[in-house]
Amino acid sequence: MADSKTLTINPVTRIEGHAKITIRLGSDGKPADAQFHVNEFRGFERFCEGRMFTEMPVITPRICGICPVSHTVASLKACEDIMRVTPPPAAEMQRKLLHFGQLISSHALSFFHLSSPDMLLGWDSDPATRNILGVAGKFPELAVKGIRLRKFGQEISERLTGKKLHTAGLIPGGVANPVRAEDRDALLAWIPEAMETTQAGLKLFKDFMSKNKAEMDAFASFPSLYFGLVGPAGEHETYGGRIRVLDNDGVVLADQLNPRNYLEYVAERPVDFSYLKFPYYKPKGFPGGFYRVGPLARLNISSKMRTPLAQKEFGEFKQLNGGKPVQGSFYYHQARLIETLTCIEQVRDILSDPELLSKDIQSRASRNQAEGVGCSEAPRGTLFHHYVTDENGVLTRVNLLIATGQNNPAMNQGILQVAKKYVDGKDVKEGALNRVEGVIRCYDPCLSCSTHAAGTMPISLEILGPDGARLATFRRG
Amino acid sequence: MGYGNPLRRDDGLGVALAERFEGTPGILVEAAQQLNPEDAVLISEHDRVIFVDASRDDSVTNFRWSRLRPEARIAPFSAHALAPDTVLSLSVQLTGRAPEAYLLEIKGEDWSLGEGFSAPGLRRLGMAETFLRGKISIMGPARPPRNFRRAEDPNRRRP
Repeated sequence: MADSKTLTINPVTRIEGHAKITIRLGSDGKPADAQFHVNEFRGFERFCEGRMFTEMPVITPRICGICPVSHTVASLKACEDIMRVTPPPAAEMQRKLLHFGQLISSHALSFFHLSSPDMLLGWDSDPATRNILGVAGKFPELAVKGIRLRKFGQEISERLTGKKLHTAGLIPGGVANPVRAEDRDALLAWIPEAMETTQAGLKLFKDFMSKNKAEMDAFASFPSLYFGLVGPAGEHETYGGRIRVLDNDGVVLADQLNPRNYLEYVAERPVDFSYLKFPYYKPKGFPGGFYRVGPLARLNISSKMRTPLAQKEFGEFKQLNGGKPVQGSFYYHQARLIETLTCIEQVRDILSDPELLSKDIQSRASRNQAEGVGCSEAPRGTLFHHYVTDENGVLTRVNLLIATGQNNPAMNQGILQVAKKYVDGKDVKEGALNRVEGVIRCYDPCLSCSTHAAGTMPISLEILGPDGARLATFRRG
Repeated sequence: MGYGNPLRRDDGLGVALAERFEGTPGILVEAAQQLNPEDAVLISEHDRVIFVDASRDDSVTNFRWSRLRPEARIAPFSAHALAPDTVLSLSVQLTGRAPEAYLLEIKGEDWSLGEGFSAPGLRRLGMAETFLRGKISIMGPARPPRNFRRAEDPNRRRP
């Protein structure tokens, strides 16, 4: 467009991986379009082809240092689909503990360390201190609580698998080792503190909202479909279950869809500005079928929670929009905390079940069919692993549909909406810039298992003219 | 404390070096894909910490050893991961203590998906290990962790 300018934020601060935001300004200096770019090609699918399918639960967790268990769970399910085997109940319970621990740990990092600075220190505060260091300086007790909540999630992994990050001992058909009574007891001792911290987080969120409700209600608020797993009665589900799709009025478009058939109802559309594809709900086409996944979507599609404390919070959440789906992206944070609460309650319930200590933890089988699909709810949304094997069990095709990809169209919508409100011309005020980035933080995207070698991660904001010439550059740090 | 992604070839050099010190008396080895806020609490419980990472910096020839000070750098907040000097700074903020800290960077070449190191990376890994074993042998006992007043900004004290 000859009469436009382009404003680029590259990379986005405080999110995982490498990305940038481009805001195209029209001739009136107002934002006309927004794009969230992912600059790093993942390439994991190709990397996995040629390996035995049983290696996948060990390889795929290394896609991400933040949600490795989610990839392990989806991978195990895909393998078990190929083997047509069901793990024993104690093995499923152990995996659920790890899965909930992952959600707790990831949600704690997102809320207490990445997003709470906006709420505690203010959108317009000095960017030099609007981060976890600033929170630690002014609210050290809360910062430590957030760290300890994250540690609780990691300790589940450490006690059950011997590793706090990349879990070991999770194998297709079950788990390698039974749970020891002393580990169960040690984890149970964490429950009161974890509950208290999560409820402190909810109080923080609600206090902030009581003072900023009008702005936050409108913050990146737009209609979309909502997509995710639910239980048989529509209850909140993250580990198993089937797919429900909800429209913006709360009408269930599809329910109890088998994740194995995901290609029948999900399609992906490549775009020329990002390595992430745009998935959409096939029956609605593109762009009408773009949907959101993750904590907000999961609460929107659920009919009820599985645990009492989370159910109480869920009741309040459902009233935010009179029982209809909550549109505002900022409510992802509240949904994240409600999910944390139910995860802690479910961890407590599983730890209290004597079946957990059973030594019957493995079912044995080998390849029984060529293809398998595994699906679980990662912290950021629905995750699919799809493997195709040859007669020897060697992978000939791998498809990973990740949560961040599915939220990509929603992030673009949110950025554009917020930019239209806060960005005016090429001179972007810090508070406006932070709000645009704040949209992305709502979705807490995890873009890649990026390299973390020292010396990377420059922060810059570029404004480009229609001919590609740089009009201005801003740097931080 | 070695960190990096071993499935990104030379990005795993830090983890590989740390793992070579497993079982060494008096040394606790931690390996991670990235540094996180909880590492600030972990390091506060120790007298000396040596972070080991791969480096893309062309000014690093084979490896580089440097002393770390608590530093509130903003750029590393661009990810869920933190930089080592930021972890030190966070340790001061949260616990009032900062251990004696160093960063050993090993120059990498190949950051593509895959296991195993590039030939130069593997050679530098050996060089860095030899250096670090020698360094540790002459370092002697660490000084007790420096105590800061909690919530104090260490950067303010520097000229």
